[in-house]
Amino acid sequence: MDPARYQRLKNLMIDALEQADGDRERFIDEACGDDDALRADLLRLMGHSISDGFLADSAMAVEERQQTDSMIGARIGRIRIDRLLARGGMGEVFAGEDELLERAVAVKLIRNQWRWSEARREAFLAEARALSALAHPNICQVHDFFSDDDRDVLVMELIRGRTLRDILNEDGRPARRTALSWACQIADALVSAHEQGIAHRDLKPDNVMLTDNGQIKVLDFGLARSLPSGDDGPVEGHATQVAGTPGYLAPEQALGQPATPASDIWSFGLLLIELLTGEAPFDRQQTGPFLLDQARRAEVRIPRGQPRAETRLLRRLLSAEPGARPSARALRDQLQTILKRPKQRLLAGAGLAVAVLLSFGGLRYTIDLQNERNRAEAARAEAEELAQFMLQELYAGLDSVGRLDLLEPVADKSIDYFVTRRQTEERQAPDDLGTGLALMRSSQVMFYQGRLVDSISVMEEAVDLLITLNQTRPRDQTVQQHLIEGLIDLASQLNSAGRHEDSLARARESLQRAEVLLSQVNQDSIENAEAATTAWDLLLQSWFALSDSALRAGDFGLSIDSANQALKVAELQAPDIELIDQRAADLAWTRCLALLQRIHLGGQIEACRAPLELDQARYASQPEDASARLNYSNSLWLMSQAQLLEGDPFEALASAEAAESLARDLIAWDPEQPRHANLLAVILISQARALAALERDDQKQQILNEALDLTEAMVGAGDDHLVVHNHATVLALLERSDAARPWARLLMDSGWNRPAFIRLCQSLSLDPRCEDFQF
Amino acid sequence: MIQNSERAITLLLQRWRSGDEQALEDMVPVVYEELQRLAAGQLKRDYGATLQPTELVAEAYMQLVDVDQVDWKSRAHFYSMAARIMRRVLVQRYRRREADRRGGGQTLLTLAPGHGATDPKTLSLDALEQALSELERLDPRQAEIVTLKFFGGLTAREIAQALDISEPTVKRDWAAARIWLYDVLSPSFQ
Repeated sequence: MDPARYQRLKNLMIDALEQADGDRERFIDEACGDDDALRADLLRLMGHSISDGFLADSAMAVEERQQTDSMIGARIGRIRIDRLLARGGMGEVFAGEDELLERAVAVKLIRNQWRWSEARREAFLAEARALSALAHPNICQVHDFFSDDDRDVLVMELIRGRTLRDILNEDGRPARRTALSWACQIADALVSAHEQGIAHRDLKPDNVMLTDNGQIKVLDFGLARSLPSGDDGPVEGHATQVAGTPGYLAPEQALGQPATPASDIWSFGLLLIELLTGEAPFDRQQTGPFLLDQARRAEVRIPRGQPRAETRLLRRLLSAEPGARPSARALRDQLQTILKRPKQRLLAGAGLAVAVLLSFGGLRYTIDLQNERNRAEAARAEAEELAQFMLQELYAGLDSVGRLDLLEPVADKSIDYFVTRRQTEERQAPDDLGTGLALMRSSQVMFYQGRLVDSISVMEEAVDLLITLNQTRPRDQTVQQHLIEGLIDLASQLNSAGRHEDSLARARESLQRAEVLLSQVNQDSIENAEAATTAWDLLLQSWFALSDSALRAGDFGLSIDSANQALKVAELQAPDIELIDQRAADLAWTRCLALLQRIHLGGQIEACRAPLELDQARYASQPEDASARLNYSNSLWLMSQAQLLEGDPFEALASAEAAESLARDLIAWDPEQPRHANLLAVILISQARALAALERDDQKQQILNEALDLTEAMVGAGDDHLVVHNHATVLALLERSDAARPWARLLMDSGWNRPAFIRLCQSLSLDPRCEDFQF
Repeated sequence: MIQNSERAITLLLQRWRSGDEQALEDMVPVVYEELQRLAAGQLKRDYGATLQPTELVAEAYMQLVDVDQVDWKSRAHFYSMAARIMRRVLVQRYRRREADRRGGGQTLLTLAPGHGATDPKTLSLDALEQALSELERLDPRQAEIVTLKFFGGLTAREIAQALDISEPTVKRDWAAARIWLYDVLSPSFQ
C-alpha cells in the first residue's frame, strides 16, 4: 500500500466511524464507488469487533504483565513459582513452594537491569549472608540467596498478612497503643539488625507487614541500594544517585551519602508519625525531586497534640545530624517505657485534674474519675483529655526539668483550646460557658502549680461569669452544674490559702445553689436519672465543702452537724448508687476527723468505722483503683487515731500497719505524688505513737527515722501547713525540740490552731497561748 | 555524562524549539539512559499500582531539564521525544526477553508448558513495533500519535499540544490507527 492510498483509506475509516451503525454499510458502498479492492479493505477493517482492552493499557503495563505472567508455574532451582505477590521497585515478589523442603516461600527476583558492579554485588552478597543468619521474630527470614547471570534470586519466609501501607490506606490510623506496639516491634527488629551492622536503608510502611497473627515483620532489610548509572561511586549533586524512597529518606541519604543505621532511625521517625497520626509527614503524591529536596533540608513538622514523651522522641529521631539520633536500642527502650505508661498515667492524670478540687495535704480527697464516668461521655472525654494534656504531658514533664513556670502560658493555651473547642461544638448557641470552663481548668492548673493567689482570682472570675450566665438562663442546668462545681472548687482553694471564713461562705453558696438545682431536677416532668445523680452529687459535695471548711476553720461543731445532716439526707433520699456511697464516705470521714478533734464527745471509733467500711467495700470491689486504695488507707489511718485516743494502742498499730502497706503501694504506683508520701508520714507517726504506748522504743525510733526522711524531703519542696505540722511532730517525737520549734513557730504565726498542733505546741513549750487553749 | 546534563538538555530543547533538528539527536542518548534507569524502577514510588509511562517521563523531565528555562511547548516536545525513546526501550526489552526464552541465557529457569510467548492473548510488542514501522511509512503523524499514547502515556490533549494539532484530530487519528493496527496484528492472535 502506498501512502496516498492509505490516506484515502484512513479518511474513509474516520468518516465511516462517524456514521450511525445502520448507515455505515451504505456509506462504505457509496463512498468506494467502483474501487472494489478499497471497499473490501474498508469492510474488513470496519467489520472487526475490537475489545475495549486493545491498546488500552500502556506499553509498559503490557510489558510488565507479560514478564510476570511468564513466571507463573516456572521453576527456579527447587522452587515452584505460584503467583505474583507484589511488584516492587527492584523486581517482583512471588509466592512459591520449596518443593524439596515442602515449605511455602516468597521469592524475590531482582531485575538484571540493576547491573551491579562486582564490588557492589559482593557487598550485597556479604550482607545477604549476614541477613540469612539474622533470625528475629520481627524480621522476615531470608532462607536463600543465589544468582545466575540473568537475575538475583532471594528466597524468603512467606508472610501472610497486610503491609502497614495497606492498613493505613484501608483502615486509617490505628489505635494509639496498637501503633506504639507495632513501632516497638519494628524497633526491636532494628536493634537486632543494627547490632549486626545491617541497615535497612528503605524503611517505610510498605516494607513492614502485620501478619494475620498480629506480629510485625520488617521486610527487605538492606535491599535498597544505590543504582549505578554506569560507574560506581556517587556523582556529586545528582539526585538520582539516591537509593531508597523519597518521602522516607534521611537527609544524608538525600544528599547522596551512604545510608547508615542512623538513616533508618530517621525513616523510623517518619514512619512513627504516620502510625500515630495516620498521615505521612510528606505528601507522597509529590514528585521525587520535591521530596528529595525536602529531605535534604531535614525539615519535618512534628505533629502537634502528641504526648510529650512521643514528641520528644520524634524530635530526637528526626535530628538533622545523624549522630544526634538515638540508637535503635535506646529507641526501643524508650518506646517500651511509653507503651507501659499510658493507661496508668491517664488514670492518674484524669484523677489529678479533679483531685485538685480538694485539699492538698493529708486531708481526704476523692478522685472524681467515677463521677466523670457517670456524666455525659463528652464531658468525661473532655476532662480526661485536658487532664492528660495538662497534667501528664505538662506538669510531670515540666516538673522533671524544674520548669513549672512554663505552665502558665500553657494554661493560657488551654483557654484558647477550650474556647475554640466549645465554639466549634456549640456553634448553634455561642455563649460564655466555654470561657468559664476554660477559666476553671486554668485555675486548677495554677492551683496545682502552687500559685494560690492567681488560681483563686481566676476561679472567682469563672464563678462570676457563670453567675451572670445563670441569671440570663436560670433554667440552664449545665450552667448551674458548672457554677456549683466552681464554687466547691473555690471553697477548697480558699481553704488551702487559710481563708476559711471565705471558704465557708462559698461552700454555703454552693450548697444553696445545689439545693435549687436538685429541686429543679425533681420538678422536671421527664425523669432524668443522670441529671438527678449529678444534682445529688453536687449537693453532697457542697455539704462536704461546708463540713470540710468548718473543720479547717476550727468550727468542729458545725463540721460534725453538717456531715450528720448531709448523711441523713443522703441515706433517706439520694439514689442508691456507688457515687453517692463515695460522697457519703467522704462526709463520714470528715465527721470522724472532726470528732477526733473533740475528744470529749466520744464515739470516735464508731464514727470512724462508717467511712472505713464504705472505703473497704469500694477497695474490695476495685482493688486496682488508686483512689479507692488511697481512701481506704486514709480511713485505716484515721481509725488507728481513734483507737489510739480510746487507749487501744495494739489495735491502733494493726490499723496503721494495714494503712502503711496500702500507702506504700500508692507510692510505688506514683512516687512523685506528694500526697502519697504525706499519707505515709502520718501513718508512720501513728505507728510511732502506738509503739511508744506499747513501749517498743527501738521500733519506734526506726519508724520515726523513716518518717523524718519523708517529711524533710517534703518541707524542702513547699510549706504546706500539714507537711510542716508533720515534720515538726516527727522532730518532737524524736525529742529534737530545738529543731522542731522554728517549724512550729511558722505554723503558729500563720494561725494554725488544730488541737493536734496545740498539743504539739504545749509539748514544745512553744508559746504561753497554747497553755490557755481549752479543748 | 550526567554532570551538567540539566543545563545541556535545557539548551538542546531550546535549540530544537528554534528548528535545530540535530539538537534532538543529541538529546536522545542522555534521555534514553535516564529513562532506562527510571524504567528499572529505582525511583519508582510505591503507590501500589504499576508505574505509568507518563510518570517515568515526567520524572525524567524533572531530572534532566531546568524547568524554569523552557516553555510548555518544549515540555510537550520533550514528552514526545521521550515517548519515542520509551518505545525503543520497551521493544528492546521485550525482544531480549523473548530471545532469552527461546533458549539463550537461561540456566536455572525452566518454563512450564503452556505458558509464554505462544499465549494467543498476548500482545507481541515485536509485532506491534513492525506494524508501527509500517504505519510510520504510510502516515508518520498517525504513527507518532500511537507512540505518544501507547508508549508515552500522553493524553489526547497533551498529544495535541505536542504535535500542534487539534484534539479532535488526535482522537480521530487514534481511532483509525487502532482499527488498522488490530487488522494488521490480528493474524498473530489466531
